[in-house]
Amino acid sequence: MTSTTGTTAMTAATTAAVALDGITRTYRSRAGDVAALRGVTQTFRAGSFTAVMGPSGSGKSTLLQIAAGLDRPTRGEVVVGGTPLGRLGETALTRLRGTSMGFVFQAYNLLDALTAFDNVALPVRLAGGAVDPARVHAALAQVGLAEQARRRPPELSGGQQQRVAIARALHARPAVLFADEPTGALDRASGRQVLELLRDASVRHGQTVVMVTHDPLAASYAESVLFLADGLVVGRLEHADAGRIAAAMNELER
Amino acid sequence: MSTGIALSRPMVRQNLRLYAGAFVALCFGVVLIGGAVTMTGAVDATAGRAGVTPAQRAQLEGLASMFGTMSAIAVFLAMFVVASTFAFVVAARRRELGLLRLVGATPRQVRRTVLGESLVVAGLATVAGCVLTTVAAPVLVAAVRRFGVTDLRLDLPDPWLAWAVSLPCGAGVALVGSWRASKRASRVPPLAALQEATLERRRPGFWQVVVGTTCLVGVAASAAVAHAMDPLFALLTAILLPEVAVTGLVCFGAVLFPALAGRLATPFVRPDVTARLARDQLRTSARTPASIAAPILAISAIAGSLILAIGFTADWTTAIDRELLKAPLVVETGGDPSVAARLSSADGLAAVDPHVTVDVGLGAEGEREPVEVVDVGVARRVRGLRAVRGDLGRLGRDGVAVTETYATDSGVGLGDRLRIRRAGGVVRPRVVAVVPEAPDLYAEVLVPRALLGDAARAAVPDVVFVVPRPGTDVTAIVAGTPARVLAADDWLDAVDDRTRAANEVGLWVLLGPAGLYAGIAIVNAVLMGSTQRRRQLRTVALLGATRRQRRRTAMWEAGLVGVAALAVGGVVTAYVGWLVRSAIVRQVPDAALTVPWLPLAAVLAVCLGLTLVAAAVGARGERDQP
Repeated sequence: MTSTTGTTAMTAATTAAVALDGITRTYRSRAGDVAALRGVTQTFRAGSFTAVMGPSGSGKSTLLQIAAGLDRPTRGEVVVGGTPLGRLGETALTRLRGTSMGFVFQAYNLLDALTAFDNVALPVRLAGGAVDPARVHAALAQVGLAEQARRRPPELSGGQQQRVAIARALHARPAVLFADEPTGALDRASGRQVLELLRDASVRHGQTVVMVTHDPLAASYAESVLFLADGLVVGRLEHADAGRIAAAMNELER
Repeated sequence: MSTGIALSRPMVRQNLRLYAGAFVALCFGVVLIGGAVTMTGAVDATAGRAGVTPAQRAQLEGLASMFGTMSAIAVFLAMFVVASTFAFVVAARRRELGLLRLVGATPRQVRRTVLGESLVVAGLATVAGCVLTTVAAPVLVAAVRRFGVTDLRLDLPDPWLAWAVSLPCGAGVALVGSWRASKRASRVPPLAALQEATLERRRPGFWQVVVGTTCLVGVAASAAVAHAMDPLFALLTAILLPEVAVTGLVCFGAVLFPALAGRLATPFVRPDVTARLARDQLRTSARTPASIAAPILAISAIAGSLILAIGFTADWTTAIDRELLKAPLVVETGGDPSVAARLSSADGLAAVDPHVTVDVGLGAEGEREPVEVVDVGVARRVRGLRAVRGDLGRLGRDGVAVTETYATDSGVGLGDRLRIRRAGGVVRPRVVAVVPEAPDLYAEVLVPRALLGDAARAAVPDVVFVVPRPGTDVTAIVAGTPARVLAADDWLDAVDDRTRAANEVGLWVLLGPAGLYAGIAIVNAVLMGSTQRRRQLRTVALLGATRRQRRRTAMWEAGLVGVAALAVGGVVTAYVGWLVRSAIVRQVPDAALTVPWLPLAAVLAVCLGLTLVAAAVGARGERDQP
């Protein structure tokens, strides 16, 4: 495992899809302040597929949420596609998310009221754009759901719902795709399909994928794996197989 | 069409269960408002009908003011209930709204979506409410007659009258209610989509703190001026103050009710695990307890205060009557003109004072109202007539007296001229004296016999106050007539009974529909709360809770909130009662004030009963399997 600390994130910001510079996030509670991230500096190169791993409570989901502008850091700066998020208001941040980012989460995050087609088309509609039905159908076909376009989420299986969420992320062709345990609720076959789709997004479409997972097999689909512990980046593996990743995790959790 | 509005329709369909609650709240709110408008219109239409006697017209005027108050209570309650229901809908959909934000909806778009949804529901509910009002109008009119509120057959106004008022009122109430909810919805962060569980925010918002504090300071200020309140002002305060207090308390409801309900659970927590579960859930939730408590607090405080204030007012008038009436005997004439003549000409009577009223046109508008024809000298000795301002000795062709209430209501003070239209033309005598209130002993305007001439001579007194000399048998004097001779105390008791019976009818009119609406709102809030709690109850079931235990938990939860809301409503009622009581006792120190425990207990029992039944029904909907 190679150590990654203090890389010159901001100098690389121009080529980076997402750059985190000295990110600290503390939460206040009655028991006192809790630090979820402690000065993390990290760059996610454009077109890369990175898995973020770490023991429970290591800060991996917080890192993802802050990188996506869903949460604000206590200290530090996040730059997405050359735009510093700290200076953006809520509406501007929302617009940036709508145009530059896509999300795939463990809980499929679809609106039950809308059909699969409408769920995929929603971000474009919200951004005020015209929906091209052919592109929406193409996105659904890409995830193998061409026939399910008119179904609503409750009428789909868990794997199918997750693939609709990916189709939504693919349809808008965002520069960065954030995924948090995307295979956590899926069976092995559905999980593999989802991971291949994410790898395709990176390799074939040049999208940057940042995926939080606890599953070494899922992480092995990524080209690099980032390890977090106690709110700090403590290591990195490149092109590692599931066995090496599992061994690194065991070492961390020891 | 904007994306926000376009999204509204499928979202409403998706959240049909939640919106059914909002629909019911608004629909019946519109029926309540429409019903009040229909009745006011019916009274107005009937008053203009030929052949209505002055007494019936006076009865209709009383009814009109009652329906006016009822309309105000209706709008207040509807606004409350609808606002709390829409807030509930937003709280229950936090995750879904967060998801919308996550996939790119701006706060403004979320706000428009929620407002759009509210418009869809409000439109349907308002129209349904208007249709229901039209259908229910004949039933309402029949009910008013059946309850003995009036002996007239009321004419139904055109249905468009209720529609014209209810439609904009319904839309307004829905918009006011949903405006805050949509604002709150727009503040839901995208992160909410990823949170399985969140602790509900309890801290009131800025405007809630401002409005709540202002209202509660206003209520506290009323205590400071309590020493200067006369009974009539206190009665007016009793109608308005509960609304102010309720508004203030509900602003802090998310903090107040969970804390109070949790504390009330303390004695039951050790022996009963379901009570402990209920207490723990209450301590961490805010929206459900606040929504259940709002209608219970509103109706218990408003109804309790009105019941107490009206009961105390009856005590007050009876106490005044007893204090002022000097005659030991009262003769009810039964409408026989010869009774007063016989008494006046009989020997053995120290004083004979007939209670004579004549209907005249009063004031600039010439409204028909009764005036009292008095012989000041006799009335002083028999009815304790005295002036609080001015000089009763100046009562004559150019001088009349008015009661303090009349002076306050009409703005006619000492020295002002009062326009009186009577047979033979208009006269404009001056007000030369202001007398205390004694509604059962004399009318609000007192004139000498000379002012009304023939009309006064032709009028038949309903009662004659008599002071006999020792040994005189008054019954023998009126023998052969329908007259009844009563001891003054018995007559006062009978008048008191009649007043209380009329008050009871008035309370039914004022509070019946509002109470029914509050009942619907209570059931609605409890059922919506049970929908929201479903996930947690399933978890509890997974951990081994039986169906009975889950039902008991739901009932404890709703029951504790109900008792907390009733306790706060009781405090408001007690405070208002204290205000009215201290004003009355200051004027009539010997007044015996009775607390109408039965109606108060009925309000309490109905609120609590509805809450528990709704909780039991809500819990029945739970499936056996987690």
